[in-house]
Amino acid sequence: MEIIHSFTPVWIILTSSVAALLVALLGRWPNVRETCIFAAAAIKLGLLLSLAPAVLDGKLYEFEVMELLPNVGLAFKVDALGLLFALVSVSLWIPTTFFSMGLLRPLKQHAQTRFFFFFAIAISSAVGVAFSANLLTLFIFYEALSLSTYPLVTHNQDDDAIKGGRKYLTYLLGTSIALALPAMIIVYQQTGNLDFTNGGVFASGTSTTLLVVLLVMFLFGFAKAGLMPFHAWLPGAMVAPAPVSALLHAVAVVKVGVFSIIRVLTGIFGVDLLANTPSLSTIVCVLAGITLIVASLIALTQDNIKSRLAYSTIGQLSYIILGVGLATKSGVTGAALHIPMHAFGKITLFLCAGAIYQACGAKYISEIHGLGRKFPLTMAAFFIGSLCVIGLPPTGGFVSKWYLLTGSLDSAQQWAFAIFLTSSLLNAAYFLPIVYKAFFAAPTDTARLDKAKEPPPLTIVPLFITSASCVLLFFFSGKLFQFANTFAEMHTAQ
Amino acid sequence: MTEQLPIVIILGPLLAAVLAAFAGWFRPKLSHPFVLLGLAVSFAAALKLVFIVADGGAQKYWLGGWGDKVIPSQKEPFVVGIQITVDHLNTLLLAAVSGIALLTAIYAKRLVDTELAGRQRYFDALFALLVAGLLGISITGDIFNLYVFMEIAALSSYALIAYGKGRSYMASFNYLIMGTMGACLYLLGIGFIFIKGGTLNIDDLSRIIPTLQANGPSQALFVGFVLIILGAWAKMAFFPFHGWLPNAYTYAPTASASVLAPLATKVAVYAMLRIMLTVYSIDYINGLTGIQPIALYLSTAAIVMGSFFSLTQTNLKMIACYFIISEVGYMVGGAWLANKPGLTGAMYHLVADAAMTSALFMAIGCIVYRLGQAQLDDLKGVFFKMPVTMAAFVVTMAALIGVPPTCGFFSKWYLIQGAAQAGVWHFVAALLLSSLVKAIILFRIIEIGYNRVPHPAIEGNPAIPRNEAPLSMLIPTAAMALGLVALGLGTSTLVNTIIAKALPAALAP
Repeated sequence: MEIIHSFTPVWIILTSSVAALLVALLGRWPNVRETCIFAAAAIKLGLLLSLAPAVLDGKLYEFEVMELLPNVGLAFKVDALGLLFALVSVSLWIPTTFFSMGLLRPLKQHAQTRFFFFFAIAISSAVGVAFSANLLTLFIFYEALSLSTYPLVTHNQDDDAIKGGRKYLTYLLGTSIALALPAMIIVYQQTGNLDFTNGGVFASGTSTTLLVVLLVMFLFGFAKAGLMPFHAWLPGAMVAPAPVSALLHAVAVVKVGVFSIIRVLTGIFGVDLLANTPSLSTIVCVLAGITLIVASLIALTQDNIKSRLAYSTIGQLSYIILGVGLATKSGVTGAALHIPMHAFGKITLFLCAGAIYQACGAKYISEIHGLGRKFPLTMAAFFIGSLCVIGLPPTGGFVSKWYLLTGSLDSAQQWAFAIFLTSSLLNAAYFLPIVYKAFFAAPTDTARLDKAKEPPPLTIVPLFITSASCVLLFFFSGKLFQFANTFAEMHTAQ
Repeated sequence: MTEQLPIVIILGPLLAAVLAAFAGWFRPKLSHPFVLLGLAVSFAAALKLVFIVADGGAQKYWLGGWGDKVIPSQKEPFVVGIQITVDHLNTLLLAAVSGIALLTAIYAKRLVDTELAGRQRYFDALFALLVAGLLGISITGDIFNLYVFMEIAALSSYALIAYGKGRSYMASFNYLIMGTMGACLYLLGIGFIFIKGGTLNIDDLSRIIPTLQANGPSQALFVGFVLIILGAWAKMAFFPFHGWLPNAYTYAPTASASVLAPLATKVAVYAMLRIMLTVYSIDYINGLTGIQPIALYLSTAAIVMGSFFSLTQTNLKMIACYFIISEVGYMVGGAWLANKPGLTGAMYHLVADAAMTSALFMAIGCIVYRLGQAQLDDLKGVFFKMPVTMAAFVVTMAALIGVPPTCGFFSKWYLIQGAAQAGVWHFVAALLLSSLVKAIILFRIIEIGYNRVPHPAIEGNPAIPRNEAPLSMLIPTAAMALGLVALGLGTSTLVNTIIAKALPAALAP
């Protein structure tokens, strides 16, 4: 495996931090401020793409900034999965910023500078997690992400926001400090090594009990992944403005949780260890499987659009965890692919939720009965996003779910196949009625019907971009497959 | 020239104390510059010695240049002179104490001028004397001189605390009772050691004590050890001897608290480490199978209790005082784990916690200076009034919580690693609990001070005028908060070049 020493990964992380500083300094001139963000996003995306060819060749970019503890440094490594995740986060940052401008400016929202500042910091942290070469670096950026998103969650500064923010921190900081941190220290004490290593860091013969305890601590410790019973922060965080829910709570934050778990499973435990130790693999699959089904069932009962989306996210995250837990090549490929596929689908849905609110002030599904015709473009985007999350062609979600299903058949956990299919049915059951009722049910609220109209272009264009991407990902899934496959090949013995 | 540096460290503040007191009679304005000068000299010497020790190992200094001669008539060779030592164990602490004292002296000027108007010169003299005492405890190579310096520091701190208003007299009196008891226990313990060992020199004792126990454990040495440890625990406000601390530091003048809180307890912890590791030895500690678990349970209790009470308090100073009590639990626990990561954590935390507590009290002092008090309810909108102070406060709290890459994260890292290695899971749980409690308090303050106020940037909401602390207070506060991050990033360097070499040789891999 060829290693390239390069400072580029650090530059990529820093670009959005620099953008954050500029945002803070230029807050008085909104247009200049937002231009900075777009410039930073473009530079970031360009740099990321420049790394892609070598990474797809199986090479790794590495850079160690400094040593923090003996044998553990602040170090970065770019592999296929990290790059894929960073690409998804950054490319979705652009439409989300457009959308934020469209949403915040007309409402004359307060503290827009603060909003964009912390948003940029959050993106930096998410990319930092993606590029971390060891568990400590990952943990640092993981915590930075929790803290930098708190002001975004409490943006509205009313009682609901404060309550949601409190829950957000209690769950995220609480689990990471009480579970992930000690687990990490125990790994360090046992092995003296926190680098993500293909095949894991544990010496053969490590007691299975210890491994099981550590595994559970890690799974629950990275609560951003929303494994039940540590999922309640996500619906609580939906008090945040729509763009925050969209980018952070459908993509960056939650995927950071899942990504951290993937890193731990593949780099600390090792896929082979999972595959050869049935109890480990079973624990991952059972915990993820329960979350998958229960979250989908709860989603059915939610009338608030954003909470239904939140519970759907919790379920979809467990698809990814379950995929890695299967410990087969196609399972890991499917899990890696599901990160971008779900990201594009879910961000479309969240942006739609924001757009619906802007179009007619509705937050509940029962409020939009029959209103769909007033804003058909928004609802069409919602439909495409739903298809992508359910996993139906012609959207990208179909591809990732295909690999996940294949992976479950290859593995020892064949029951997962049934879980995947059941959950997909449930996904359809909670998404499609929304679209159906918006177009065909009789309007319940005529006053709302009269006022409803398609939101302004600054809101619609991002929707168009993301929903078109969902479809394009189906037809051009090959490139993404290469990323996922490179990662899976590196970690599974074939 | 550099061989004289060790004594310069103490002479700086000691002479400054005398000069400040005398100058007070003729030119009161001169007393503060004298203190600054003395502390600056002391800090420079301490800093230089950090590098000298890192490169060249321990520096021993004989007062007056005599006393290191072996007396031929004695059976065992021993020394009669007064020795001071700067080695890997205390060099960082010396730099931290003198550096923090210097910054605090700059910082406290405005506070003293308002809180203690007309009595500044006494404050200045006592301040310098306190620092001289603390540095003396840290540098001495003799267990009796350690007692003398302990009393110098204690007497000046009783006076510094009693300068406050209202309940400060009572608080100072409580402290005096507890502090004197601690000092008595310590002195009694020295008596036992002196009877058996025949010397007070730490280097000699560390050589003699193992030979005295060659034929089985000595009861007298054991009693002496226990008495000394109990005395040190009372001085450092270790649970269950912590009762004096919260009131003493809360009702003391803010300027006094800002120097006492970070330094006094840490120096007492150092004294305990010195007795445990150098006078006695790591093998001796590990042989105390009866006491070791008790000390660890007490540490856990200190952390849990400190965390619990900090949650129940409504005054920011009180909250900070209970933090100190739980942080003392960190260090005592780390020391008594008596393994490599545990001791590394305790020694690192000694410096890290001095810096964190100092930054915390500085930020609180700024708030008190502007708002007049520090009840949580008074903090409404404080983030808008004093943005820089509060930024420093948030960074400091992040360090106390243990958010990477601040120094608090790394001390917690080592301590947890040590506890995991020793299998002391209750201590791990207590450390994590304490982090969580501090996180709750930080976000409680953010809610009160920021979120619960109508945002002034929105039209129609009342504007909140900026009322930042004066620069002479703000700059030290901000510098200290940034120092916490710098210290965290330098962890690996500090541990590799200094702390690892302070560990007993028996623990080397």
